[in-house]
Amino acid sequence: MKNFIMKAEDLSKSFSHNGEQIHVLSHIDMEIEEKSFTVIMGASGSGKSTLLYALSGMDKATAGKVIYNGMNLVSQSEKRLAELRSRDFGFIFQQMHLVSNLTLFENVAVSGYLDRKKTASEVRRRTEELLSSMGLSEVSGHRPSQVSGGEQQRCAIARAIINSPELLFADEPTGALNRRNSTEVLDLLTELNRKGQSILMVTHDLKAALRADRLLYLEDGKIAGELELPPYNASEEKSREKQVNAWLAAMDW
Amino acid sequence: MKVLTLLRSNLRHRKGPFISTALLVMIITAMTISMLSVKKNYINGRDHAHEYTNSPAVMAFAKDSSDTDKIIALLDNCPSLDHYEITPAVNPEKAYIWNDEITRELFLTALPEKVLLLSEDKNSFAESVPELKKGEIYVPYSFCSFMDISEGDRITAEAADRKYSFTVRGFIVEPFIGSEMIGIKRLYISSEDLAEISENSRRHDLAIENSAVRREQTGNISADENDQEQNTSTENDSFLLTSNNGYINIRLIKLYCSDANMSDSSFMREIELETKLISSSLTITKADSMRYTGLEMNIMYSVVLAFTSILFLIVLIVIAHSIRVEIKIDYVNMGILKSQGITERTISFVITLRYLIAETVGMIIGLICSIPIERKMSSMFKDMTGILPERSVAWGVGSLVLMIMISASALLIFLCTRDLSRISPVKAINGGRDDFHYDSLINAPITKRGLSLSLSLRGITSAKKRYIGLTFITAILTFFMIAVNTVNSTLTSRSVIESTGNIAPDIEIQILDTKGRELIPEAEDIISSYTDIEKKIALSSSYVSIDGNNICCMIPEQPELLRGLLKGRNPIYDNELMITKMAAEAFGLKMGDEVTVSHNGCSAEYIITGLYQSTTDAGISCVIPSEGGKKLDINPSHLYAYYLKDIDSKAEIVRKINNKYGDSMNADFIEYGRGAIWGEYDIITLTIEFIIFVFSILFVLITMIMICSRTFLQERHDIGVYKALGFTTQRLRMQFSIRFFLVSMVGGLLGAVFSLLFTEDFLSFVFGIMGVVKVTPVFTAGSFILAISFVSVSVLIFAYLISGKIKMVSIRELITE
Repeated sequence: MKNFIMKAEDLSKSFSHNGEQIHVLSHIDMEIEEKSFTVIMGASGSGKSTLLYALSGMDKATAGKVIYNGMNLVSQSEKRLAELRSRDFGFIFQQMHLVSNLTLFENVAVSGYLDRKKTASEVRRRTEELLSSMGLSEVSGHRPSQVSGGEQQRCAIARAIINSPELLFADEPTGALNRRNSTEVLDLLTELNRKGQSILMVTHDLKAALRADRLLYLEDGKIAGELELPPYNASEEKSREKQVNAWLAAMDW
Repeated sequence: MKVLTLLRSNLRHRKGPFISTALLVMIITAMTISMLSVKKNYINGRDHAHEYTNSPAVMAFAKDSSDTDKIIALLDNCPSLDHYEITPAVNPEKAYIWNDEITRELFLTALPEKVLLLSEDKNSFAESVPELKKGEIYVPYSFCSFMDISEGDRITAEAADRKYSFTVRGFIVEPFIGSEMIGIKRLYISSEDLAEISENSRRHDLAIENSAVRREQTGNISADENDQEQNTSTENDSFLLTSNNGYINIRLIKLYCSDANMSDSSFMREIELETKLISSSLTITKADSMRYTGLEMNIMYSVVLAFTSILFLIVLIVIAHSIRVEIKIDYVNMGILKSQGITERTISFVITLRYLIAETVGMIIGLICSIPIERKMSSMFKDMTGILPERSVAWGVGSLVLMIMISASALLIFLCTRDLSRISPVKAINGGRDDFHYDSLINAPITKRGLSLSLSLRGITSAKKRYIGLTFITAILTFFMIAVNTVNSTLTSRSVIESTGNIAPDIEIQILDTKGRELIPEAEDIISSYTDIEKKIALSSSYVSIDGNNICCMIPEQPELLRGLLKGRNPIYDNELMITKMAAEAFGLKMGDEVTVSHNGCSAEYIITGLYQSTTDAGISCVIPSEGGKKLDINPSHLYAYYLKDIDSKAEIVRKINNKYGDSMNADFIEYGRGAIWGEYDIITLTIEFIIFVFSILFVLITMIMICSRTFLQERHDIGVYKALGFTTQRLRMQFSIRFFLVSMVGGLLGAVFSLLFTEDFLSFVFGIMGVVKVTPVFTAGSFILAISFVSVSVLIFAYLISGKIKMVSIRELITE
């Protein structure tokens, strides 16, 4: 039996622009399985990032429900949502969004400090471990502007997982990176998923999509298709790529 | 055309800085123009009054006696005297408004030909001046405020054991001695009343004259005999600053100078040297009259203009900060404009134009606001000076000041916009800009405990330059608040009152008649029954002439106890004298000089042993020991001042003395410290303090809106990131406002340091107007705490309110579609 960590029911999101209603998400029903690596794909403007932020409670849906741990995120207070973001969810952004006046170490540790259950020394130890595992020990005292984009994104991943979130949201995590850095970041995410981390990622990068065990295709704010894949294995990447390409072609991508 | 398009766009998108700049300039303009207008209107009103009433260069109140006749006969020998006018007057021994004694020396004269009578609303002059009927009186306008008198009130004058009642029929502008600051007042009564009082007092005056003649015939007499003589001559000696020795019939002599280039004091000196009129009468020059009358206004004028100059400096700091931040925030747009061929000069011109338009708008609104402010302030000064001010705006000097402000701003903006040259179109198109935060080598650590505080500190240490402006602004405002607060504390501080040549006792006893002096030992017994008397100073005072220059003279029995000495030593022997530094400079005297001092027909030589400072008579005064005073026929001490060991029972002592000897003496206890009423300066210092606190809070508010808004724009991204990490809006708001609070605390402490360094100069500047050249400020912990807390808490509150914008930052802004 599948365990779902999050469910969306009849989720809609619309904006008003010059008096006209624009429906970005339209009656979406979906589930995210525990320990899964779900990727949402779609053309530009299809609403995939909007869906990601609506599911994470960062953005309020216009209608419908997002059920997490038995609670509907759509009706939660700002304070409660902030608590969830600090404890239950992790975020990785396309532009990294590290705080520019904090060092890499501090960027990661600040998130850890928000967890009241951990002591300061536990947070520092965990931060060191994470930065070390991501190959950032050498630059942990540097500011974001002093390191490469790949290093920044690895730091952002460390920050996102320091509180061991239930669900990790990633919005085009390789969008601003070169190929080598992208591979490093994707390897990290794959490794995390292997260790049991649930991940929901938005991307239009085929290489990134290959890491998923479930692909959703979004078109005009609706889920147009779904593809289930076996867990990622680097040695099978070419055949996996063919399969995904074929599916995407079928989706008119 | 492109400039207009850019300007329109700039104005549309930069409403915040535009409005804030306009508001700041509006405040400065309103304060400056209203103060300049108040002064101009006062001067014009005063000059008009002097011209209309044909004010002389010197006004002398001399006793109506044969001695004065002889002096008047000598007036023709004065080469600079154009002409003189003599008006009969009476000087009642006591006067009351209902039952309250009038503490000023009153001279009643008949209604002159030209009088400036105020209309019913007291905002203009009456078209005609009704003749006074018997029992009616016109009083100077300043009586309205300091005696709380109104039309229909009853004034009673006592002269030669008779009482005369008058009903106040109106208020006049008397420019010469009508000010609250001047201790003598001229009031107008009917010719009939004047003749009656004058006639009824003839015998009284004759008795005084006869006793003086007897003294002359018997030669020099001892002090005791002198005292005794006076006791027998009258029971109602006047112990105030008059040289007329109790005469009720007085001649008001107006002396007009023929030489327009001659100073009033030189003219007075010439009169004295030729006639001895000055030392035989109570005299005041027109120049001194104007100095005393405008004293309070000049203090306020100087302080307010100094404050507005500081505020303008703050505006320049805020504008510079705003432009620098704007260039950083708008790096991309400006780079794109440059890439499209728009020159730096055009962009700089547009920015300059925008700020100058904002300033111009502020100036126009400020000018409009200055009109009611000027009315209110003029009205306040009208109560003090008794002068009806003109009603106009100081366009001339005001325009000049505004032009200077505009020019200074334009220059600053030009200098600030030089940063535009650093904008690279290529870097801008790539979305690049400098990292705002990386300008620090020292960083506050980030800790779990007090995470918000540590992040706030990091916000400061990682972008120190951004907070330099705010630090200086809060420092300057704190300094000014402490300085103004200290003026008040200093004015009411016992040690400072003493250091400014005054006495600051716990209990003062004013002798009302000669019997009172005899009762002093009994009064002292009452004091001693409660507590020990630590120090006692007895003194009298009178106007004397030093080498022909009229000066207020204190004659203490214990001259060694007076403080305020700047150079030399206190006079001790009967041929010694101490003079204020201000008077010495005015009369061209120095230590060691031998001077001739004259009073009431007596003259003696004295050596100047010391220079001191004093607020008495706005800084023009001297001290002669009582032994030396005897040579000048000056009345013995009329004021007894006591310094007590235990001050708790001083109110009780005063009550007991007044109950027992109230007819012959008036005892009073003095309070010191903040809130104690001391002289006429109290209202001025409190008004200045009020103005500075109110405008400081307005400035803090507006500068905070500008600085916080700019900082918010710069940090909007980081705020979004923190929100995404799980920081609540409340926590981020606290983090944001704590940072500004900490900066303002640093500014406040810096302001406190400025205060310790510069308050003495500031006080010397303020007190210098009153004639005190050296003042040691009395700092109180309260004034520091009050100013620093006021600024910091205001900053905290305003920053917190402004940080409400954090609510509107959506994490969605971090999403890249």
